[in-house]
Amino acid sequence: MKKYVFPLMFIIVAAIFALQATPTVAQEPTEPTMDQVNTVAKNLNCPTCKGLNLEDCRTQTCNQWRDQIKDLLAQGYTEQEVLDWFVARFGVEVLQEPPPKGNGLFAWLLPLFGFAVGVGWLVFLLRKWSVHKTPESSAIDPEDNIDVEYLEKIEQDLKEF
Amino acid sequence: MDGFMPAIGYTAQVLALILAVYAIVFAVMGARKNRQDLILSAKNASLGVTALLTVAVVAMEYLLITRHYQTEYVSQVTNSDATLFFRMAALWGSQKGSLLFFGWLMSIFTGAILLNKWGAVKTLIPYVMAVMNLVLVFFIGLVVTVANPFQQLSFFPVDGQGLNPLLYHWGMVIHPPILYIGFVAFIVPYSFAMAALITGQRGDLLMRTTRRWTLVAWLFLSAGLLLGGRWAYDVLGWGGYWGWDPVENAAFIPWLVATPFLHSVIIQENRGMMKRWNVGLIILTFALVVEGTFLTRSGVIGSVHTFSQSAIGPLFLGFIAIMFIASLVLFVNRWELLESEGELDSMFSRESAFLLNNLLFISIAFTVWWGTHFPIISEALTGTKIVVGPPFFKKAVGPLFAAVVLLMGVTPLMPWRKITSRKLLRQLIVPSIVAVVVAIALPLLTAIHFKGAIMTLAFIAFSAAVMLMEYWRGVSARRRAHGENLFTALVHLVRRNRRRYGGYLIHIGVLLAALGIVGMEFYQVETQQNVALGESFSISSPFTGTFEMTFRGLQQAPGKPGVENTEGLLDVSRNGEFVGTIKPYRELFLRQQQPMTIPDVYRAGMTELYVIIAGWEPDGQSATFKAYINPMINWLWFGGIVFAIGTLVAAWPSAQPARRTSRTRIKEKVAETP
Repeated sequence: MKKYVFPLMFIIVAAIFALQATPTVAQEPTEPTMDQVNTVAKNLNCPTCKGLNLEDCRTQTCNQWRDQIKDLLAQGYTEQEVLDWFVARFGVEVLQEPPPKGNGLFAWLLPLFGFAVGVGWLVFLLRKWSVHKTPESSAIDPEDNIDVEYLEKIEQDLKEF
Repeated sequence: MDGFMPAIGYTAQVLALILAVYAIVFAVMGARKNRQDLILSAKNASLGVTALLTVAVVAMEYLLITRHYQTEYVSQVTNSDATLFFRMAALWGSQKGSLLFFGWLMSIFTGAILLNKWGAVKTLIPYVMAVMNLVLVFFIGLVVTVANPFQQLSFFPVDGQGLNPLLYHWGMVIHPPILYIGFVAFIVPYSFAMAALITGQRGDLLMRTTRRWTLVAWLFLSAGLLLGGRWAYDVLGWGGYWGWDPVENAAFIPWLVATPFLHSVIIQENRGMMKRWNVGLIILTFALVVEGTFLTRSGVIGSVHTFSQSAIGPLFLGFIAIMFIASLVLFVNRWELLESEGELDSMFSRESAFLLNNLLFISIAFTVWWGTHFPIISEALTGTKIVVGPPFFKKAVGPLFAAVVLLMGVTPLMPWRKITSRKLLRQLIVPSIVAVVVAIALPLLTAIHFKGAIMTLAFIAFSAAVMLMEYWRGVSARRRAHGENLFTALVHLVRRNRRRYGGYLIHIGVLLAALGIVGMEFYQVETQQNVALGESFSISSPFTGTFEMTFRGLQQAPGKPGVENTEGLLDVSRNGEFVGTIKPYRELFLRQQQPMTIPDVYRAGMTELYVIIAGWEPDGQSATFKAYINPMINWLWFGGIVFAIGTLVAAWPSAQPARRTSRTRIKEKVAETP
């Protein structure tokens, strides 16, 4: 399922670009709503607190950053352009999600690679184990295996016995 | 008395350290020379460690309760405003105290192990004792040297700084101890596994003996994680329960490794397979526990720079490295001994389903580990830190968790060894029909249209159907065979195979919790609005309709000492009908000047309207609120409770010496017959 992440991301990125390409008719200078600001802020990190995103942080610095987003949106920046603006000034560190390029790519690739290795190992193991079959008996708990109804019947018979 | 207490506490720590070293030396010597007197002496020394650390903890509590601010730690975590309750809980409120607390809990487990009668695995106990005390030496060593909580200041401060405001919550008071118990209890399976490797035992018996301890450790870890989520939801005010924060992940990763262990150990018991793998998982779980403690205690993930400031960091890292390498060396040395006895008969068997379970969980664990460590790794290697936030984790592990949910339903249908594909297909019919009906009905009858949500809900329906069918089959078989009524049959069924039916109950809990997670991940909506007095704002969700909230004003409310509470009053109406008033508030901790936004909720069945106050104008004429609709969130908490009950059912000690299975009973009957 994970292999779909990349194609999916590609489609999403393509869609974003496609949306950007559509002619923006009459940029009305309306004030961006807080929800619009939050939608962008969600993708950025709080510059001061660890582990919080910009949307949820209530510190002064974060308020200033959110105001900055609001200004940029009011100037007609798209969501991606706002994010780029922040990355250009503060580095990729400000993004919540590692960019799927450059070193950030490793963040995405290694788990995928690990999963692939795991699948390979599983297949190897299954094949190895099922190759040489020797008749051996290992104790399997009947209650874990035999049909419950069958088991109850045995018990019943034993009782009569 | 006050002047003596720090000295008493510190001396107790030092003596505990000496006794722990003594216990290691004498336990190993006693085992080597097979001398019971030496082993007994080591055992008494080890119990002495437990007693001495208890003295240290009591001394620390005394200093905290009496506000002995000259003790540096006390002045950091309490102040004149702190109530008795929070002064006592301050023991685990900061690094030094929590290390002492951690060591103490671990020593209690050591004591409990030594006081237990071990029967067949008794020969392992000296080595178990040695391994446990080795780990204890590290933790006691820390509080004796670089992290001494009894450190005195050269002056007597008038007042202390007090706990971090985030910690003033009942959840924060019980969440760390429960999580810590979960953490330290994994020392039991770990030290038994190490002892088996040292003595060259094959460890089958040991897996059985320590199974219950592992299950208890796992229960506490799970409960700790859930309580942490609940605390975040109630206090942090970001509308969610899990933020993929490094500290949260640090507790989650060992859980993700312990969970497949609990499953694959069943294969070992039944088929004699996966021995190496299981020992590996135990070592890994405990290494991750220690690493998790290190992450949460050193702040290393926040930035590599805090790492060099903390004396504890390098020591911890050194200990983890030594422990892990030593475990691995032993493990590799005994590689041949742990050879698998059984063989796989078919791809369609419970064994292979469990293998898949292991693959999925380990992949999730690795992904979370990698994402959590990527910021430090990227900073160390390239100089630029790349942050890995929640969106990464959701995308990367979400599909894997969905697969786990599906597998949870498939596995019980697969018997050990093999099943013919025809029989398997027959078993799959009913749950598959349920899943397909759910998948078709949801988009037609409800507002659920996201493919991911529909798929996951269909998986949940599939697995839930299997679980219920398993219960139903068992109950009706009993009713037919014994003529019992529904309730008695259920009780007897569960009692006779608690591990199996407790396990199913755990799965049902997980499935219920998954409903809440699906609701939150796919359908949470939020809005932030600035409203003037008397003005309204609204938020809608297809699941609950529209909530309209009218701002009725701000008011000061009585709060904790040293805290200024400002409440925002909101009248709530649902689809035009007034349903009540909610009061989200902001706490301002005056001393630290730190604000906390505490949400208030309106419950609509399993869904919640969750509102926080984000800010206001000084004149109180307008305020900013943030509202969320959290669909099905209460299923998460409810599922958590079912999960805990299921674990208790599976782990509760039985009255009978060992589980008398039908097999043993059949054997007995056969032996009796002439």
